Amino acid sequence: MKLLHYLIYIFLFITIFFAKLGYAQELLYGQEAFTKIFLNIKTNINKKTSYVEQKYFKENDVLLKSSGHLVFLENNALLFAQHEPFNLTVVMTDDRIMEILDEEKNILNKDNKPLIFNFTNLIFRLYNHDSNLYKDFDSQLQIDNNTFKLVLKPLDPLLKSLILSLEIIGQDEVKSIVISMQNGDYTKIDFTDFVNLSPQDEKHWKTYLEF
Amino acid sequence: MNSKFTVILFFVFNLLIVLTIIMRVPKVHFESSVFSLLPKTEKQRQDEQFFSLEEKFFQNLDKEVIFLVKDDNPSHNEAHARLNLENFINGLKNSGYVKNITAKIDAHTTKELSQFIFLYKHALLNYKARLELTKDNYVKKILSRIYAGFAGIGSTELNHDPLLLSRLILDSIAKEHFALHNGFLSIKDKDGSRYKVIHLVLNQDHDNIEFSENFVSTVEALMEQYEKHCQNEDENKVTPAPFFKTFFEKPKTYPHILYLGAVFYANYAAKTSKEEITVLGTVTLGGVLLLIYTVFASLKPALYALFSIVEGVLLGFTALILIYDNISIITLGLSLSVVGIVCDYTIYYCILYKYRKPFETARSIIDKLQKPLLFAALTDIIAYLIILYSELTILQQFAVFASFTISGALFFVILIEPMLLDNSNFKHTIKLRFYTHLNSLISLNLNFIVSRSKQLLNKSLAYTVIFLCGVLSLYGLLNYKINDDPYSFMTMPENLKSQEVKITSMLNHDNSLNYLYLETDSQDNLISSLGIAKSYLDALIKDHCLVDYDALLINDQETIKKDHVLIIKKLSALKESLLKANLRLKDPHPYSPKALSLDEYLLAPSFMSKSHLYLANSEKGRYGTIIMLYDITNQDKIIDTFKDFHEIKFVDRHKILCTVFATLRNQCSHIFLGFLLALAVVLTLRLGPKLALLYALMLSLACCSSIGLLTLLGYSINIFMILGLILIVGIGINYMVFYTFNHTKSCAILALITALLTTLMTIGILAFSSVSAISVFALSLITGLLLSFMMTIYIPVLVPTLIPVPKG
Repeated sequence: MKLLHYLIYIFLFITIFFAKLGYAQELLYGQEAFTKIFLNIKTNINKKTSYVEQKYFKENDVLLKSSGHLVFLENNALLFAQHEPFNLTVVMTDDRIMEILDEEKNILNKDNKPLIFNFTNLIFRLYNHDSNLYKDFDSQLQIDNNTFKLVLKPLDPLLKSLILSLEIIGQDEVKSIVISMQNGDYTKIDFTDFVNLSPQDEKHWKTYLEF
Repeated sequence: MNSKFTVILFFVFNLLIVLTIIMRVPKVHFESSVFSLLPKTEKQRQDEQFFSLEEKFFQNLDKEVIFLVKDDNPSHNEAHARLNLENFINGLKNSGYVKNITAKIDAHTTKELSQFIFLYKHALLNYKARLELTKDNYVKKILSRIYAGFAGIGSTELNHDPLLLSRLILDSIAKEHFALHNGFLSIKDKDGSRYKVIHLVLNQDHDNIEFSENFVSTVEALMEQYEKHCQNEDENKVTPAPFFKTFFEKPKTYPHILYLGAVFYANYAAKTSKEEITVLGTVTLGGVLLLIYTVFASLKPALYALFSIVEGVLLGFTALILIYDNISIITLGLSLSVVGIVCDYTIYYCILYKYRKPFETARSIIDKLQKPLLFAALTDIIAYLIILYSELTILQQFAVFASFTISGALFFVILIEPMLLDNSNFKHTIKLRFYTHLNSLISLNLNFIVSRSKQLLNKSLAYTVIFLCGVLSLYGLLNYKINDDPYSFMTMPENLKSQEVKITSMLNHDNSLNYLYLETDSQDNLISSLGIAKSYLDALIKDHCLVDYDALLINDQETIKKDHVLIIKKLSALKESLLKANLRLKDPHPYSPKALSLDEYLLAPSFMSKSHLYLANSEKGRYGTIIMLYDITNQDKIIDTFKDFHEIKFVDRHKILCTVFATLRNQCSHIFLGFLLALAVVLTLRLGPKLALLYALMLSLACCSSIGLLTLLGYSINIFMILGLILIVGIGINYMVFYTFNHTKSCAILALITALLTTLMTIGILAFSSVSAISVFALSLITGLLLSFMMTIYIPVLVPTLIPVPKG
């Protein structure tokens, strides 16, 4: 009889333990994953965050580092301002990406290269809650005590042959992005210090939208 | 001549004609395009010998067809839409008319293309890529992509193509307005609607009318099926083209599909020509027969007229197929007008016979009539023989057909009809009550017309008519406009034209057809010449003489060497920058030019190889290519640049065609003037200088008034109008000669009116033709003949002393 009681206690313990575990960890897939992640990632107009990017080239065993700011502007535009190792500005909107290097502008239109555009503009699409994201990626969202990890795997065969996965990790904001390539290369971008733009900054960055 | 012998000879002759037609027709090729039988100048002939493959290029181009299939509404069921499109593509593939089709660009093709570009970077570097590579900040741009996490550049690409030349080449080839969307090459219109591009090459020429017909009907069925399966109910209906101008069926428009290809135009032209020949020919023939019946109250003259027409047409057609291997359908269309002319001979004869004196027989009448008939017919034949000197094959064929048709009909009238008429009595042939009433009504009306006409033949009215013609002529001479654009001669359905405009605007190209044509005796020489031409064109683009060009991408050795120097220079700069970040390339020398032969290049996916721009006849050792030139702003400079290269020539096809037609129009104008002069000489010999001058002046006045009237109606002078004027003179002289010899007879005016009505009925109907070349020709004839008729009947009123009084 005692043995039976022990068994019941053990059964209850296991049930409660795993129930608690299930409560803390949530797994979502596909469209549901994006619906949930969009609740966490909010558009921050007139804010900026610092970023540090590390790109690892496996064949050469070299880590390239770059850094700068990610600026959130009006009309949901995003601006990457790279300061190191050289100045480069990339402005992202819903239909084009403009790269400004040494005052020369290169524009990538969504219409011309939709595949490359949709991949390159991924951060913009996340922040702007693009409901079509689930069509381009196989997704898995893991939420654990306010921390989320979204793992995306491209569905397009061409992208799939190059990119293994994209991991987006964060809490209220995106904290880091890891792009893993099929050949072992990877890129890690860490975001820190979300601050409001000063009026001067706001005025300065707005000029980049006038194109 | 013995009657029996004549009849036997006639039957033997016709038997020979029928046998010839049966044997020759299968070997003759019927052309449907105005351009198909264009003449060649001496320079063009020389060019043709050297540039022997150029025309073949256009034949190849004519085999191409493009479909743009609109992307379905996002609300549509995607799987359903995909299946519908697949069915459409498979339908095209399995139709049996398609040599190859480019629709879905699969992952395998994309990979194949990337590998090809990666392997042959030096051989494929084009001017846009080269321009980018030469920029000072190119290395910095590459660095920005190497650093960028989302640029997708991995260590494999970095070590094997650090300058990202493969990407650069691919970007420079990809047209700005094209995109690879869901595996399809797609393009957007100005409203933002996306279209999938389906390109196919037909396995036969569109010159094969049956092939064009079958292909177009298959495609139409597939397009209708596709539209039916499109879910949107509002757009489900296939819109037929608006009913206008002609009563023939126009190509349909489809809400989700745009299509473009010479085969659609060719099919439309062939179909309408065939329908017009059938319908207008039947109406013409029926009308003429009815007219003859109303005048003679008998079907016999109608039957005789029909015999004479058939005899003439058989002889004309036989002559045509014996002389020419390619016959224009347009020639046959124009030839319908001759039916009206040859009818006149029987009409004149039968009217004189109907109103004969008791002692006259059919033979005695023809003896008197054959002189003016032969005189008029010979004058016409001389006119057509003059047209034979024209270099335009269509005109030559028309002249041959007309001359032989007139000859055949005339000999039938002179040799056979007297035998037939001797047994006829028009007044008592029809005995049915109803017809008898009808006959009396008609003859009453005709008597009324004859008597009324005689009242109208007074001097004041004659002067008024001459004055009005003078005013019209003056207006015409002061305001006439010239149009030599051959595209305007072929009236094409609006929906085909509007689709062409939409597609070419989506492709961002102008409609003009300008190109450089290169032909050499070896593939190596062709690639060298191509390299030279491209280098000059690059410089001309920099000078803003043109915006873009489309050529085979393969580079010549000279260019490859120069590019390699540039690549090495940029690579060392990049390596230096990478070294600062401790990045050393695994292979320090990743670039070495790899040889690419023309044959290997042509095996690449068609998107890359542009094989439609290349032609070869290896047996004759001739190799050619075309460089399409877009948005030219300084044509003279381009011509000047290439004038010293004997293997390269600049061609503005539209301008050449316009020049050819302008030359031909001038030639026809000279023929017209020469014809008038020849006529004046013949008339002078026969009728004396005063009357000859008067006739020539009157005919000129009729022609000028016709030009004036058509100018007033908004028409421009073109080669077909001039051709009409030549015929006006030919037919007008028939009227004048017949009327001069017979004006004292009361039935002469009736004969003339009947002849005029017959001609107007035949040629008047041609004015409804959808081929503008034919309708303008008919309109000029209608106006000119009406005026010639008036001039003819007023001449005896104006100058009665000059007109000879016939004996007896």
